[in-house]
This record gives sequence, structure tokens and C-alpha cells, in this order.
Amino acid sequence: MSNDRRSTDVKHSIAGFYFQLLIACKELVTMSKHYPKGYVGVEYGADIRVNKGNDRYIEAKFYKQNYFTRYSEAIRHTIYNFYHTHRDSNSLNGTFVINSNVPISNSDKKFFNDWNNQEFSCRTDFINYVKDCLVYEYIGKDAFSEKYKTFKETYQKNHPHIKKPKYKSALIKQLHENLEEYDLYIPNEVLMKDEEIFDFIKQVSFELPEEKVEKYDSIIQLNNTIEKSLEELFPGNSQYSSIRYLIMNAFLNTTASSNNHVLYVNDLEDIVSDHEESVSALFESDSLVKTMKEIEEELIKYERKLKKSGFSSQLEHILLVLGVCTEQWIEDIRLHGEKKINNRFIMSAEHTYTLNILDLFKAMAEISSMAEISLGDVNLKKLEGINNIGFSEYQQFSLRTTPSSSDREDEETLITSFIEHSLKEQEYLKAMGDETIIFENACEICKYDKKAIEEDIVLDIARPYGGLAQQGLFQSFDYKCTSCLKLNTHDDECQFANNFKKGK
Amino acid sequence: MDDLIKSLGLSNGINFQELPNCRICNLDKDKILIICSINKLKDIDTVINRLPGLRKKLMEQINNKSNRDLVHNEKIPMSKFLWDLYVIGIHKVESEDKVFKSASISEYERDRFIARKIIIQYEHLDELKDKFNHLIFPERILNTFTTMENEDDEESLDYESIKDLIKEIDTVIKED
Repeated sequence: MSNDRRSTDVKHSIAGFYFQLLIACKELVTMSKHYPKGYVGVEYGADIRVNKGNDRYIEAKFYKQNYFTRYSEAIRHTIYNFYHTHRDSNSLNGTFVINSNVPISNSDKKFFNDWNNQEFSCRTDFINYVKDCLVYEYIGKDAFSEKYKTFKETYQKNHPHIKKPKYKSALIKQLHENLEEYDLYIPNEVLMKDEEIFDFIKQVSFELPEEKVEKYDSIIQLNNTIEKSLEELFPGNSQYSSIRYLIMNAFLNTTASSNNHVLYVNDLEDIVSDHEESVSALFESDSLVKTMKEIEEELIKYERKLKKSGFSSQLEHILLVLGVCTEQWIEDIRLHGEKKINNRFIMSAEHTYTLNILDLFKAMAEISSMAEISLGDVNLKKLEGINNIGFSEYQQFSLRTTPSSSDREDEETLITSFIEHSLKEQEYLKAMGDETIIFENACEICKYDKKAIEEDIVLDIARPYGGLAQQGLFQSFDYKCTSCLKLNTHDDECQFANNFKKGK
Repeated sequence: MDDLIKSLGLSNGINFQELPNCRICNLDKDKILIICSINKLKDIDTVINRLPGLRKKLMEQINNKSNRDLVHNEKIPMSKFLWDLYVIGIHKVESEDKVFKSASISEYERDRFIARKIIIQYEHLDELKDKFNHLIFPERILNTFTTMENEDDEESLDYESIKDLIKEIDTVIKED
């Protein structure tokens, strides 16, 4: 397995990118009635491509990124498809349109604006770009994979100091310097003359917004739409939610498969036909599907509750943050195992308490929705010390919860339980000191006198002095709780919550 | 529970509502014993995590004149009695499948967070008493050797009887 394809070679769990699959599923079933030749493609964790069947108009929905670049998969792949449609039809006055919900990145803005305005001051740039899109596709195919492999080996040999080489961009760079080498990576019969490619380029245009159209789809709405459409398509069935899981899983399979990148409208028939057996097989083979189902049910309840409590305006933001957290969390579980990942959030537990952890994310989502300035993107990965959540333009925190009611009864017990957990899991080794620990609903924790850590808590009965350094570490943490951060129990007086809101 | 404490030869056991199923005993002596009746090993964690928060309450009990003479200030932090705080989990085994695995017991007993932990499993009260004395009050066993009371009268020391005594001790150890 080569480095740069790892992300698509592995079969992911539905749970890892639940929302993306849900949206893809909605797009496919809703258009299936009117566009029997339509298809939807997903790229792992990135974008969704909707084609209504004429291969001349595509919607690229970026559901996480705020912009796209010229080498974004959705765009590259679309250019590749359009190129073939054009080549086959050989029409000189057709139109090809790429529609996207996000703007172009600044670095590529001029390139695409010029393209849209038909200002081709340097033709070669555009022609090479189309060829690049073809190369990206063909090096993934059997006939050219050998050549690509050789390129990679040579490249590695010539650049031994590069730890994680970016082979694809290196190849593109090399091709730009040696234009004749394009022949090596694109089939002869496919590669048109530069003039012909330029004719094609003139037929392509882009419909792009100035800013990201941030529309976070409601899960309830998505589910309803999907199930209603399925009911119209396949009346008389009762297991629409099972079928939905199967469609989502089918999309998942396309991200792992090297020859089937999209799901066509007419694939639906097959999925529905033997859904009963397939769905039980799916649940057996992928334990995370169960976890996801549990999370999904909770999210639906949560969405309803927020609406009912009058927080509709913040709903979009809250669900977006919660969605990102959930996906990264499940993705980590898939990579490192449930126990290891959940131990970062949960104390005194032998089982995995999925929903307890979700509550922590909810609190983070709610407070960030109240912030006056943007706190940036939320992230669970690559954080400092023992932090397990961070906002790119604010701070990082360490979230903790416990299912044990006795742990939560008073602050001393909660802190002791936290220290015990940190010692047992050897987390203190990673700590930097000064982290802010946020406990789930521990109202008095911010009043806890940290002096008690050295007076009352004996870290190691055999090392009365050795424990001092560790006690110092545990005293350096700030101990806070989620109560004042939540919409329902929000406290305007709470300094911690106010700092959060002001991004201080 | 009270009967149990009495039968272990402990008096003045006090009861904190934060530690149900536990008695704090022996406060006026050199060891503070927290005797807890447990059903699963996890119960020990709950007791341990509660202890730091109970320091003040414990202190009120420990702060008697004789104890205070031994430390230099009014406050006796937990760290001053380190080895002398024992959390003793006693587990009455109702059926064979409920017996704790010795590996799991060791995990708890070797852990040095907050206090020493000792876990005693028993079926009959006599078994509990025996094990308890062996582990916590070995001097009680030593005291049963009556001949040692003659220690003032050095001349009447009979080396033969000492030999016998040593043999007796050997036997006791072997029985263990």
C-alpha cells in the first residue's frame, strides 16, 4: 500500500463520516425519481459530487472545507469526467458547469476567475491543468500504476531526506517541466491535441459563491427526506432506516474501491432487494455502526430539544461543532480502539459510555455558539498535553466525565478520581501543566482549593517526597465544569463562560 | 457490621455517612483502619476516592492529645500518616464464582494511591478473624506465647524451652 493512497484504501466505518454519507444518501434518493441516470460520488471526509445524469452539470458539495483548490478531488474528478464526455461527443459548443457551495482558495482565485471570464493569457497553464486532472485519475488505474510506482521509487531515491514525500505533486511538477512526459501517464487514445483540449476548456464554466454557503443540514430533516423518498420509490416497505444504513454503507464501499467511485440511481434497486440479510450482516461486521446508531438517536433527540427550548438560531452552529467532534472521535476509535480513546474523556468506567462523552461535546458546541467572535475550527486531534479538544482560534481543553454518581457527589472526590485516573492511565506523563480540565456538571469545582491536593491527597504512600512534583502538576491545572457553558444552565456571571464567549 | 467489628477485637468504630458499609476503627492507636465490607473490588475505588474529602472529619477524630504530641503543628496532613492508614476490604464469599481473582487483588493491594489496601476474603467468621490478625495485628499472635511473660526473670531462662518455642514458631509459620 502506498503512502498517499492509504486514506482511501482502508474500509472506514459509517460512523467516521456519518454526516457526509447521510447527505450523499439524501442527494441520491431525492434525485432518483427524475434523473434515472444520475449518480453521487463521495470522497472520504471531503466532498460530495452530484451529477444528474447528463455529465454536463455537477454540484460539488464541500461539507467541511471552507474553500476548494484546483487539485480538490471533486474538481479534478469532474474535469476528468467532463473531458471524456466532451471527447466522446466531440461537440464544439456544449457547456459544462461546475457548481460549488464554497469559494475558491485565494491562491487559485485568479486561475478560476480568468477561466470563467475566458481570459486565457497563458493557455498552457490551463491545458496542463486539464492534463494534470487526467494524470491524477490514470495513475490510480492498473495500466499506469506500474509507471507511477517506478516514479515514486526514483523520487524516493533522489530525495532520501524527505520523510513523507508528496509524490503526486512531485509528479505534476516534473510533468510541467517536461511536457512530453504527459504521454507516459495518459493513454494515447485519450490524450487530445492541445488545441482540442483548449476547445474543451472554453466550454467549462464555474458557478461559485463568494463565501461558503453554510447550510448545516438538520439530521431530522435529512432522515425524513431520505425515508420519504425511499417510501415513494419502494412503497410497502417498512425498514427504510435499515435501507438508509445500507445505502450509506454502499457509499462507504465506493471510497475504498479503486474502480467504483460513485453510486448510481439504478444501484438502489439492488440494495433494497435483499436488505434484510445485508443489514444484519452489516451490524455484525461493524460494531461501530451500532455506536453510530446510538449517537444518531441521541442527536435527533437533542436537535428536537434545542428547537423546543428556542435555540433554533444557534442550532446550525451547535450541530456543526458536535458533528465534527463526533466524527473525529469515532475516527480515532477506529484507528486506536474504543477503550484507549474513551479513556481520554471518561473516568472510573469499565464500559464505554458513548452518550456521556457526547454530552461533553454538546457543552462545547453550545458555548461556542454563544461566542461573540469565531473561535475557529473545533478539533480533537494533535493537541498539546492532556488536552482532548481545541478551538483553532481559541484554546485547548481537557474534557472529563464520569458515569459514577459517587465520584460526582463532591469536588474532593471528583478531583481524587481524576488524579487516580491520570495516574493509572499514565496520562500525567503527557501533561504539560496549566491545562484546563473541564468536568461534566460539577458546579462547585471552580471553588475547589487546590492546596488540598498537597494536604489531602497522597499520590504514593511509599514516596512521601517523590509525590510532591506530581502534586505540583495536579495543582497547576485549572479545574472547571460544563454547567455554565450550557444553554440551559448558562450563568452570565461565570468568568470562565464569559471568557469563552469573548474568546479571551 | 458492628458485630463483625467487635468480633475482630476492635472497639470505637465510627461511621461516616459518606462511606456506607465502612467503619473507621483504631483511631487512638498507631494504625487507622478503615474496614469496608465489599462485594466487588471496584468498591475500594469509591472508598479511596472519598477519603481525601473526608480529611477534616477524620482529623476531628484523630486530633486527640496523644496523637497531636507526635506532630509539630495543629494540622495533621494525610501525608503524615502514610503507611498507617489502612483500607481493609472484607469480602464474604457467598459462592465460589464470586471469589476475587488473586491477580486482581494484587493489583489493588500493590497500588499505593492514598492508602494501603488489604483485601480479605472469607467464608466463616473464624477464618476472617485468623486472616485479619495475621495481616493486621501479628502481635496478637505473638502475645499468645505465654512464656514470654517471664522476661524479667533472666536467670530462669531455660534454653531448652526457648528451643521448643522456636520450633513452635516454625510450625506456626509452616501452617501459614
